[in-house]
This record gives sequence, C-alpha cells and structure tokens, in this order.
Amino acid sequence: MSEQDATPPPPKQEEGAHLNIKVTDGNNEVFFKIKKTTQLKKLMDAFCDRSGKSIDSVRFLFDGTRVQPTDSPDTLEMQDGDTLEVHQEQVGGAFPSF
Amino acid sequence: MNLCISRLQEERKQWRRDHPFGFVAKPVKNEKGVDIMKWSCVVPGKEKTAWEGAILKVEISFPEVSYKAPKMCFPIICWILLSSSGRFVPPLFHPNVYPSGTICLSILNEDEAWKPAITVKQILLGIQDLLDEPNADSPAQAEAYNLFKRDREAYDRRIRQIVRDHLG
Repeated sequence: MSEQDATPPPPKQEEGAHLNIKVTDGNNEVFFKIKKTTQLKKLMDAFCDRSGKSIDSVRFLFDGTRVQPTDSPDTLEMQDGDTLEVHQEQVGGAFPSF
Repeated sequence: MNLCISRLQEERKQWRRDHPFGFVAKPVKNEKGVDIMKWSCVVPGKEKTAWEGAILKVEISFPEVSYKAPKMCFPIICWILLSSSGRFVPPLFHPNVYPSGTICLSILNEDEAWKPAITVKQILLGIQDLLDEPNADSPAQAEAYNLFKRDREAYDRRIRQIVRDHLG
C-alpha cells in the first residue's frame, strides 16, 4: 500500500504526467515543473546553475533521504507540490537513514 | 476511517506541501505498507545555539485509541534516538529527557498544555525550542539537570561535544 492509497487521487493521465517540485536551500525557493520520469539530475543542475553553487558542494534531500541524480519523481514516489531540500555537503556526518 | 487516521493523513499532506527547512516527518513503512500511526522525524538543532549542527531522530507513536474523540486518540509518546547509528540512546543529555528517552514537554502532556489542535509540526518545533531552552522547573534526569543548574557554560560545552561526537 502506498501512502496515497487511502485517498486515491482521480487519475488524470494528462495532468499527472508533470509535477511541480519546490527546491529550497532554506533561503531561496525555486519551482520546477518536470515529468515524473525525468531524472532529477536535470533539476539539480538547474538549481545549482541558478544559485551559483557547485553540484559537489551540496546534497539534495527528499523526506530526509539523499537523492541520487538518477532518481526520478516516479522512483521516489513524489507528488505534485513536494519539496527537495538542498543542504551543504559535509564530511564525516551522515543523515540518518530510515 | 477513524478520526485519528484521517487527521494524521491530513497532517502528512500538509507537511508535504510545506514544512520547516531541515525537518523531516514521515510515517514509517513496514512490510504491510505505510503505518500512519508511527512517524520517523528529524529535528535539526537551532543555529547559533550549542545544538547547531545536531540532527536528532525522533520517533512519534500515536496510540491506537481510535474510538474516542481526537483528544483521546492523540496524546503522544516521543523518543529521541541517536541519529548516526540509529541506536536507542537513553537518555539524551538534556534536563527534560527521561532516562527512558521520553521527552518531558508540556505540549505533549495531556494533563498540561496538550490540545487536539497541536500539529506534528508544532511538536517538532517545540522539541527544537526545548533543546536550547530547558525547563529547570521540571527535571527528568539528574545528570544534565545538575550541570545545567551549576554551570551553564560547562553545560553548553558538553552539549557541543555531544553534538560533535554523536549527533552531527
């Protein structure tokens, strides 16, 4: 059972193909519209470009879990309106995994 | 669907839409799927305090007393777990955390300030506030309480040490 099963959203194939995803580093928020199957690398690169950050200096977290560039909204079970957090990369520390 | 479950599903929906930066709150997944009654959460230590850089894993269990009004089905038990290893750490070094790991916080206490309207977000923000602002009138463990009362500077140094060694 997925989290959405209890209240199934009406299946609208056309609308469901794209998601609006918020990317934030705690100060800046950037909204992206991407396909469910698009690799998040595209969005991560775009955010870094726009905010002048190096991709190696940050890590992206969804729900506390580190996001890989090859992940897509589909693989992470993301929904429209979900948020990706951008944190400073750090050495030695690790985010707790669930 | 009972009130407690629908309430928690709504909370989760709101959380996905918007939540404070660095915090995590999500129902756990088990072999049967998502268990809405148990949440895994992360509370970050506040910047510019001794807790800066800390990542605290908090587990919230909502008791399954679902036949009563929301008030009855929503008292909360929280445990603070050590983040990096996921190990249960009784107790977190804090005046208001019991040796069992349970947090002593008025908004979580049915006999005190608990109200059905309190959200998961408020609870987690409350825990973050409590980290750096212990309540010396309600000690839950001796070690942290004694040092906090005796020498605030030494206490803060100890916290920074713990954050550096275990919670970063």
